[in-house]
Amino acid sequence: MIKTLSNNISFLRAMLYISALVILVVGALTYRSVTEVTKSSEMITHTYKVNVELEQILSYLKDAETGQRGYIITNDSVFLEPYLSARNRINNSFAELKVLTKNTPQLKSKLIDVNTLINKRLIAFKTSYRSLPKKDIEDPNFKSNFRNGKTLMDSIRDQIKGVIKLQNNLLNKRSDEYRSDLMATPLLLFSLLLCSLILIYLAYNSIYKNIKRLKIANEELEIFKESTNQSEIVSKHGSWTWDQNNDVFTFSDNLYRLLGEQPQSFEPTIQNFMQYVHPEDVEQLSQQVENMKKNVELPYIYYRVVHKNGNIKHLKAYGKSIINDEEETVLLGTTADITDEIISFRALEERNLELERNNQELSSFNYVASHDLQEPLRKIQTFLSRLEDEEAEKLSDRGTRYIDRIQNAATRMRLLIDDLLQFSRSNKADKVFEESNINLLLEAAKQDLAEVISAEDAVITSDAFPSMTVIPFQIQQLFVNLLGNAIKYKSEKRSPVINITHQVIEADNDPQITKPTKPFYHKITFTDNGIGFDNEYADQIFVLFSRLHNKDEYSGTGIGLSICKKIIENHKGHIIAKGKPSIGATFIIYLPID
Amino acid sequence: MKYLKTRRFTILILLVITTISLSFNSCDELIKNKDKEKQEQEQKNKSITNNKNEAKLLLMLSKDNHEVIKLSKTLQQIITKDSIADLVKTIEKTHINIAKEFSEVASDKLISIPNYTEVTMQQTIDHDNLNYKIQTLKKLRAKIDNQLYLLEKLSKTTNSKDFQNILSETDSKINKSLNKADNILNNLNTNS
Repeated sequence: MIKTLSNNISFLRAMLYISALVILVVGALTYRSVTEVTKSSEMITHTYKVNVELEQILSYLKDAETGQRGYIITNDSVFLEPYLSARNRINNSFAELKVLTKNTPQLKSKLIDVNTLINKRLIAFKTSYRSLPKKDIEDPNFKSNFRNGKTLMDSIRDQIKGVIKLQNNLLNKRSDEYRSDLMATPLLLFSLLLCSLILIYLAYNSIYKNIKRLKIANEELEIFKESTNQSEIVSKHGSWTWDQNNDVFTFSDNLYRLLGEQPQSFEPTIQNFMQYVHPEDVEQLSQQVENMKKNVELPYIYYRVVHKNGNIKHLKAYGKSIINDEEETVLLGTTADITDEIISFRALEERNLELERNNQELSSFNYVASHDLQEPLRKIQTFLSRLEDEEAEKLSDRGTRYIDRIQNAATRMRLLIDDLLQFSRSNKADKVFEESNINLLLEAAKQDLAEVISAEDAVITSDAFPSMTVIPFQIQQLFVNLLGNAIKYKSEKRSPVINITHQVIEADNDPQITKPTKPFYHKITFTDNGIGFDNEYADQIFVLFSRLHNKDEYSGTGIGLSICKKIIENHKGHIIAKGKPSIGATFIIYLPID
Repeated sequence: MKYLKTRRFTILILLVITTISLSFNSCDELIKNKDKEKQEQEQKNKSITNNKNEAKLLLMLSKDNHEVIKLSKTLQQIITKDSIADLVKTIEKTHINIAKEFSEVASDKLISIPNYTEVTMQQTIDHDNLNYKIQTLKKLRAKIDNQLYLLEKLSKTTNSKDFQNILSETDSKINKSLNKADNILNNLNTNS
């Protein structure tokens, strides 16, 4: 989202620059075009002015000619006025033309020729009416002069026409230029304005999309902000930021609440915050704040604050520095109220201690009871044995049967006491972990069971084990129990075959390991071909005194697998059992690798 | 981001400066252009007025010159004394030369002036009447005097250095003619 917006901002910036450039170009071209048009217009006006002045000169001459004729006809000097004023008027027109043709030498030379002809024509006027004797217009001399005047007038007219033609050509050329300017200018302006419009539309489109996106993002942010506020209230924590460059803090509303104050009720500064810190923690916290300012990191810190009503709250804070978009380092921190946790922890600690004490007492009791029970049992068995040896003949059949039953019960009780003793031993605190050779421990276990193995013709195969850090006598006991269990619950149809495998596994790759404490585990698998069991009893078999079979079918106390579980728990490992009735059982042990 | 912020600020400043400069420059340019246009138009109008005045004055001067030539010719007919007639002749020649010079200048300056060849003789009424001679001579003197006034005015009107030089030369020539006219007048008055 930020990346898209950033890209769009770049796009808009580019659009802005391009638009500005286009507008500048449009402005420059418009200025140039308008200047050109103005210039063209001025040139056309100039040409018209020249033509008008030339026409004026011709007109003055015509007036003079008309006046002369009027004078010849009427002999009234009033008609001579246009002739007499002609030169002045012509000079005025020439004065204008001189300025207008200042930059056109070709035109000037033509005008000099016109002026010469005009002078001649004006002389011819005078000559002709002076040569008129007594109103005799038929006089050949007068006629000749008059014709000469006409010739001169024609020459002037031609010359002026020539100049006007030259001017008209120039005018046409300028008109064409003016027209092409007029044609090109709107086309160019329109094209450029069209470009600008397209750019504006693109920019608008982009802005619209951005605004839409921003609106959605804002709504999401609002929801997020509200949910953060709520979660801060519910989870009793507040957040804060520290702008390192400007040394400015911001506190969230709930941080004020954690201090027992209303949101934003005081200026968020470290000095104001320190006023709430428990006097015993002020020094330590100040030191940590100084470190935070130096290292721009804040490790987990614990301190207490005192509310105005005297309540003491335990707080935990943590900060992490981030670099924002403006390349400024900002420390983001959270502060949590852990008062309830502390109280719970303390209660838990007390209960744990109590539990430990109870366990210890129970273990001691178990041990002592088991140990002390052996003595009377031994006596019972001894006296039963003497009774059998010495008084057997005196006993009736019923008495003998009763003694047998007592004997059996005493044996079972002995077994039970032995197992309980063993179980209590596995609970005892003297757990010394040693780097041990597991192969030797397995061999020792096999030796312990050598008689049974031999009697049942059991086959035990195993992988070679690496050395492990374990409590050796407990692991040996574990092996004894598991091997003994496999042989005890053998199938009637086949000799027991027990296979023991080992592998090192990664905790994350084995779903059987719940809540692993170490990344790698030893996995030891005991597989047998005994009677097996239904998997629904997989957990039950590890419960103390739990038995799946009647004591008449299989002897036992139901303590063996509980001891196994206890041993594995002592090693912070896991044990699971899987079984298939009539096919066999599998016990998998996971022991963590340090 | 800090760099970007600085860059954005720099671009903004540059844009503002450019806009202000362009605005000032364009406004300045517009004002200048308008002033220039106005000045040019004023200059043009001034030139036209100047040209008109120049033409008008040269035409008047030329007409007076023709009058001087015409009066010289008349005086030559009515003055019998050779020394005085020679003086008048000199005046005529001088003014014919002046007319030629004026004609050249007028042609170059696009001014229409009458040609000295147009000068026609007036029929003398009384050849021997001294009073007529004196009156004609006074008229000649007055015309020459007026020429000097017109010359001075024309010299002030024209901007052309060359023309001013010609006028200056003409002025000295006409002054001489005036002296001569004064001498003739004195002579005639003394003899009467």
